[in-house]
Amino acid sequence: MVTETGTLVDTDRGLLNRRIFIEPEIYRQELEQIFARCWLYLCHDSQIPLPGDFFTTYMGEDPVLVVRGSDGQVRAFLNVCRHRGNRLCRADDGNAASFTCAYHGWTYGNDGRLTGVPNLREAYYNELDRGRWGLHPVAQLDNYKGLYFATFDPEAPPLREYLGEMAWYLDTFVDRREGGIEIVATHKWVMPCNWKFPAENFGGDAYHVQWSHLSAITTGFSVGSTARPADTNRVVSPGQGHGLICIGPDAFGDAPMPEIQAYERDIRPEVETRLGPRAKLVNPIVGTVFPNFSVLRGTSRTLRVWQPRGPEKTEIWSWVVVDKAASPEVKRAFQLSGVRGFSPGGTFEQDDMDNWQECTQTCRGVMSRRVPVNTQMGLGHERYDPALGASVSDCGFSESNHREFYRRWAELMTNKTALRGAGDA
Amino acid sequence: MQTDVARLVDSDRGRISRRIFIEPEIYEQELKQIFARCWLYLCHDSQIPLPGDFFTTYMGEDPVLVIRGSDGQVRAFLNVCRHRGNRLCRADDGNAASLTCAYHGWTYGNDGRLTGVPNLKEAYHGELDRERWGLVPVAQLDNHKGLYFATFDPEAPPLHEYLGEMAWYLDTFFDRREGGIEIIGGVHKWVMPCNWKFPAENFAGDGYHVQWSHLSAVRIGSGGDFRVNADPGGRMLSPGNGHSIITVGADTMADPPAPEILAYEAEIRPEMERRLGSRLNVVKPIVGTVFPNLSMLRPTSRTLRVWHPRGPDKTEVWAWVYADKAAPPEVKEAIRVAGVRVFGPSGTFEQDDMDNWQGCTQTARGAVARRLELSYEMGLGHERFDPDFNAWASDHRYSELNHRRFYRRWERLMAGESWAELGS
Repeated sequence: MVTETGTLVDTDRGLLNRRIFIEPEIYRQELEQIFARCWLYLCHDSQIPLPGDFFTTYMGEDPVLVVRGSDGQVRAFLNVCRHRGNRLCRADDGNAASFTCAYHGWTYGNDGRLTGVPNLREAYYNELDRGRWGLHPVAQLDNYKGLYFATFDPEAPPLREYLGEMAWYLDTFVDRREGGIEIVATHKWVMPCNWKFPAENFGGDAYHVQWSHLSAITTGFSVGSTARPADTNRVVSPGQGHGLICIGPDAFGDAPMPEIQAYERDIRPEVETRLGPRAKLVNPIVGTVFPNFSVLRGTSRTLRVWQPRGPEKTEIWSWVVVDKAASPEVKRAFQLSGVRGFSPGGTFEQDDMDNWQECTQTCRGVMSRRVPVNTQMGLGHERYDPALGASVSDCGFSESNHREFYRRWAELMTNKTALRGAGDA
Repeated sequence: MQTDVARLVDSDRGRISRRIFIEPEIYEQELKQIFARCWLYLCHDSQIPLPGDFFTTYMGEDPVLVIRGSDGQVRAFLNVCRHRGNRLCRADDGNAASLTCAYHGWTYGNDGRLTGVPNLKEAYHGELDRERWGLVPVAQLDNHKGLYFATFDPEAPPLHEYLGEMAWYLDTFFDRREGGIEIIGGVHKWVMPCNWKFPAENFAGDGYHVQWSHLSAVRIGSGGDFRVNADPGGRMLSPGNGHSIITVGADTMADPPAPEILAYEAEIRPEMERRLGSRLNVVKPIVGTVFPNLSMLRPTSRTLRVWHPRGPDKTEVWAWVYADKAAPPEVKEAIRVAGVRVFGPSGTFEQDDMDNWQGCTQTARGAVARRLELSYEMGLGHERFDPDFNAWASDHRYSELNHRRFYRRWERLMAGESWAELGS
């Protein structure tokens, strides 16, 4: 049974029905319509550089194995043995020529082919069609500037088209210098909240910083660049549900550490050359690639996936990233600011988790569930800015990105086709 | 709304959809069509020998009280007070003349009659029809060689017909000597994060996993080498009605590798053969499942167990170690030790299994992983009905024959077929 989600999301009036944050049926529909169709982030190229290198992750609740075959080609499969459905690879990452299931010993090559079936001759009488029972691949896999994405939908548009104008904004996080980025810390933990709260927050919530994070800013962990709606701050929607918060080109969003400030000054000419003239207009510091991949440069530098784990649980997979070309001292400074600000014990992260938990858990009540929530801020005050290739708010605080995110969400939830182009600016 | 499971189980081709292991609607249908209809194991006679003895258990998710009345007759009831539906008896087992609900004090005799209602005269004005509000009995209760079974379905065939040829195979576990078996010690109870059908099918016919899943446990000497070495006499047997047995050759060693046990087995062999007949010279049953959720095992450990369903991705195991009642104390002690070492929450074999069953269940949470079919094709077309065993038999010691017969039965019960339509 499909819930008519079109009636639950009214982005024209900025009203959201809270059922979308708590009901199991709607959650199941999300797994089918959102997570089994959209391009989802898997891992960074630097995590699997060599033949045989693998990384295990999730797409929605589907366990996925990303592996570079002995032939050097990266592939992604359901991390599920085809015989009895057991989880195939148990390691977080590593290097392997083949993968053997713990239950009966079916073995797959690092290209996904079923290569070994114990007792194939005697017990299967050589009649099992091994060609048919290889690992189940994703429908499409692609890589944008070292970021691997995949989709289970063969009809989905190519990755580059799915990202659209968001691609340039991603460059401002992961392709600022030659060599791109590398990972210096990984954290995984579970929060008692619906996955859409963190996704929408990173996608456009500048408004909470001045209040939720006031103590962390006062203590000096952050400059709080989004805490005031400065004239130059903007909320930016490059289309298809993707969203970002940008500060002015001369504003500084990183952690207030001398090594980082000096580094940013040093590399500014290189970054501007690389990113082109738009970098003189805006400085993107946080954003969400629809549906659940977020990037952050303010206070901490992190890439993260909000893995859905039921309507009221989200598993965060968070990586602290640095420019590969940075010096060891600078990398160390970014690693520290990353762990201090955004991690299970991070000063900012703790504020957020508490709020997202309550936004979710209070929906358990049948009356609370009936009361709509408000995403009306700046309604009607957004406009398309050709220079930014995006719909842009008039003020540094706006919920225009929230509305774009949920408009995209509702389209995908109700519309079986037309992933392509829908919601384009 | 009922799910059309025929589309999900293709036992003729050996393909099964993973949806049956994870979807709440299918699980609800199982509670109604499987667990509220089939004969389910309750307890062993030796656990309730005296008038007033009781044992509390479950049939599916229904709490059940098995109790020997003061009149000596064993009865089974929903363990639910009729007044407000509270769980009536909270003890695992014990002896009682009557049972009083913790909430308002309604009291039932050990024959199920409602005998006490506080303030019956003043507050109920003596008008409550106590006859009508006794404990709800199961529809049928019977006992095969000390094993008590019950069903909630008045239409279900009698127990001996439900067991059919499986009865003889059960005897090779529980009626090998005069006096049958007794339960050693208490019950191990614990919850596993897996669907109940994974353990049930595993004990029904998965000889294949032992050589790999349990390789480390076999190597350190916990037993089970009978599966790693060639055994041309081994077979999978399906004696009908979805029941299953794994066998090894008649002379293959398949007991816990303790010297006391091995000597004992050699000694009692002539007595067993007299008792169980000549079929024992052809085949040695070692593991099996009575459809749907009672399993038993005799190599490495001697265990009898029920896989209680607790939602689509949870199973509560209740496992008992058992021994021939006529065995000497040192043999019983050796069996107890082997039982705890190998099968139990921390048993060397049990841990391997639980990890796999968890993986098989939890990965089906994914919307895409759920769409996959699993392969139950091993030995497809290489089974035949063997009159010597009065059962479907595989050609090779490894086969998924029993799995296919298990799921065929499951699918037809889920579709709501009558007992007459079901046949065997």
